[in-house]
Amino acid sequence: MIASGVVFSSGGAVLWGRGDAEQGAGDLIREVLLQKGAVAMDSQHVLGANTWRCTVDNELNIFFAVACSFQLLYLEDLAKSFKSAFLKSYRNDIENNGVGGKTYNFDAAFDALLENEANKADSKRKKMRSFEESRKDKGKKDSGAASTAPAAKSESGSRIAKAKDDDTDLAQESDDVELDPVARARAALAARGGRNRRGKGGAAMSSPSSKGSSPIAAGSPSKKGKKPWWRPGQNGDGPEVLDYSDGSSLADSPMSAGNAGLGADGGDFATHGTGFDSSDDEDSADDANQGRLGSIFNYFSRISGNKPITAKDLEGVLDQFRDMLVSKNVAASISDSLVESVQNSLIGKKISGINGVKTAVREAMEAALTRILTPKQSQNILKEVETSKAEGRPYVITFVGVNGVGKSTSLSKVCRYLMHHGHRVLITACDTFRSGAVEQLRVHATRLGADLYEQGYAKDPASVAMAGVRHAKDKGYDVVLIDTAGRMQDNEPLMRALAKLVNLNRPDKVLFVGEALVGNDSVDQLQKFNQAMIDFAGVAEPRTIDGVMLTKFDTIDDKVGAAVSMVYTTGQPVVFVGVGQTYTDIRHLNVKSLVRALLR
Amino acid sequence: MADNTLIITVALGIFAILVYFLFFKKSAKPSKKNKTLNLFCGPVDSGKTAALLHLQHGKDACKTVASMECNSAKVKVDEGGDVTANIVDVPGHPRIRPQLMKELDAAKGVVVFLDATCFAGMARTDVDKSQRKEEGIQILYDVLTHTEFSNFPGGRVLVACNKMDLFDDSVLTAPTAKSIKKEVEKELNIIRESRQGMLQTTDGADQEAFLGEEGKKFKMEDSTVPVEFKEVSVSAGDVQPLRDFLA
Repeated sequence: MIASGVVFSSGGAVLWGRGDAEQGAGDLIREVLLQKGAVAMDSQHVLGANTWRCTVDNELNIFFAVACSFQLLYLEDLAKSFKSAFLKSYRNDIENNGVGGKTYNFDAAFDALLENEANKADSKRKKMRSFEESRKDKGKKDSGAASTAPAAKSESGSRIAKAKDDDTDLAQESDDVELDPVARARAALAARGGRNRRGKGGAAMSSPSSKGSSPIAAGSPSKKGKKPWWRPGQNGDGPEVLDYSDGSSLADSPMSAGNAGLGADGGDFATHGTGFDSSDDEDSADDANQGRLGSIFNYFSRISGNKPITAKDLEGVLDQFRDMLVSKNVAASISDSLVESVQNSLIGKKISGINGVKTAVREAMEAALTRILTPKQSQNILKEVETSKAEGRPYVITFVGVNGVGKSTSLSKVCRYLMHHGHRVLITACDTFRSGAVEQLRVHATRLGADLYEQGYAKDPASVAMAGVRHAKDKGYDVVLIDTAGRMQDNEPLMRALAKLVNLNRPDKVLFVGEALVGNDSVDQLQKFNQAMIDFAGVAEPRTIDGVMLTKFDTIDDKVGAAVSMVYTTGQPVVFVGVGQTYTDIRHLNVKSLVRALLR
Repeated sequence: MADNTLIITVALGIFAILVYFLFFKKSAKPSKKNKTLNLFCGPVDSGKTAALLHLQHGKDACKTVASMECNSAKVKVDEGGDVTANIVDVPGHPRIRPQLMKELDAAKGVVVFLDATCFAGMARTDVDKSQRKEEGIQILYDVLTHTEFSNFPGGRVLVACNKMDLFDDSVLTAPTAKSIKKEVEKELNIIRESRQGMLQTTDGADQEAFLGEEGKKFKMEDSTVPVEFKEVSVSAGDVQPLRDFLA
């Protein structure tokens, strides 16, 4: 069996399943579909030993997944035809009886489907040609010269000219023999005038006067050798050759009414393409009469629940939502993913009632955002500290992040919180680089009544951390808070040092401290931090970021999007939120009010 | 003349009825007083969807996999009887927890499914099982402290210890409903301590109710809604405690 498949509903009933796919469906749901949402339909996923591809029917809320243990080039087509074949046989049955009461029999049909797809893929793949059929056998001395001639500066021009020769010959032979892809591409390139070709001497386009003019037609031998290949000082062609200021094509047409932009009422000019294209208005005025009746019919059929939503219906609304998310400081790439996810989950759905597309999109977006921001495991730091205490070892939290986000301040806030609940806290100063870092922590420790472990400056942070944790274990501390130096995500030596610190000491929690003011850079920061901690780990199971701490939350009004960007990139929740600059300004995140603020 | 006005009035009446059905029928929300739902909740893989399908379809029920959305159905409480119950099966995955909180507003009876294999002695070393055990008790805590549900006088909770059939052939001593109840009580007390210590949220939102009485260790009898612990086994078809609860 090449691949296995499974069909399940969004409520959890398995309508048909076989093999690895059936066993692994639970993992697929937990790891992929609940993490990424409907945008996961657009790509393959590797889980364990299998590569998965899934697709969904939004009307019936049924998911189709295929799994293969090796790389299958036609996995996407297989998933699509799986879905259409299954629905063709059983759509009526499902619509009438619902799901859950019957396991369908699709074994034989699935095998037939596999064979079908395999044959289709085989036929698409071209067979290798024998030597006799291939180009090489034609005995063309030019092609030999073109491939083996050393690209000497003076010769590159002639080489390219010779290659042009080649192309013209090739083009002439196009009648008798089918051009193989390489030759076809060459002919196309020659047709374009070889504009993109870069020979050894930086050979530019042939004649300056032909810039912007019609491309060289392949098969016109008169062009051969005529163009002076420009090289500084070669043919005495100097800057005059490149002087186009003698009023050719573009320069002389003055601003005409046609290309001046579109005038709105009141004489202001609007630039082309920002949405008030007059041409569109004319078209729409023309078929307004036909369109109006059609659109009324569409409207009623949609609200009565008969017509499924199409991508076109969603386009305008989704663009609005995307713009709103970006205006709330959600990173651009994350907004795109979110909007795509909502689109995937709504296409084909039938919404009834006067509520319309906008409400459906808003609900879907709210559900997606809530799902992303809700942690995948219940968060209870105090309980975890108790558990560690019971096991007789200290609970270690490490604070990492870029420069200036508030790591040391956040550390002291967390320290005060834990001390308030009766735990003994040891602060370990592993920022051995920044001037005054150790002294700053000493002041915090003194004010809070905590203890500080430090070894001064210019020591290796990883070993300071290890010594600190050992000290804590010996003296019976409950919690160890490790402060690290701020580092940019692109700084390789510092990222290596961080990976070494984390993987050597294996803290219970690695908190990434990020400020709520950050924009698109949040995605980059988190991706690179995680990647560096995996790449430079040097151990079999690298540790990555376990949670995000958001700081400077009081400085943003409702532009709360940075939380979404960070959580989406790592898949980890927001553990704490810093809402001010004093010790008591620390909170947990309220997901409901954040989502409401985003969608307001 | 009179005919004309009569026709116009009738037409207006029909139009009004049409408008009512189009605009208002679809947007009926469950009112706060309208508590008719029974919820099936619990951690992932504890058998909630399987239980619902068993009640709906009996032997024909298909296999199940982790749910991503709620399933709601009206099922016959006793085969061949007339009493029906509205059941909503809420997915157990923590990311969908807010959905449970929303559904609790309209719930009158809640069944919390626990996987009994997580409470066996051997399960202490299995990371997945101990995680699910904690999740389950966490869910029970959330249910018992939900402001709306815990104050509803008609509310009842059944803790269904599922998968008891897996102990039939094995050498492990099966946990009983009583032993599970003791362990759950202990955990609930620990959670209560740590939850009280939790920070406020960024919005200072609804605080949950306090479990039991301050200063006194929590016991099941102290809960504002009655809680029962029963053993069930969905795959073996032994769900009589469920049927009794739903009736």
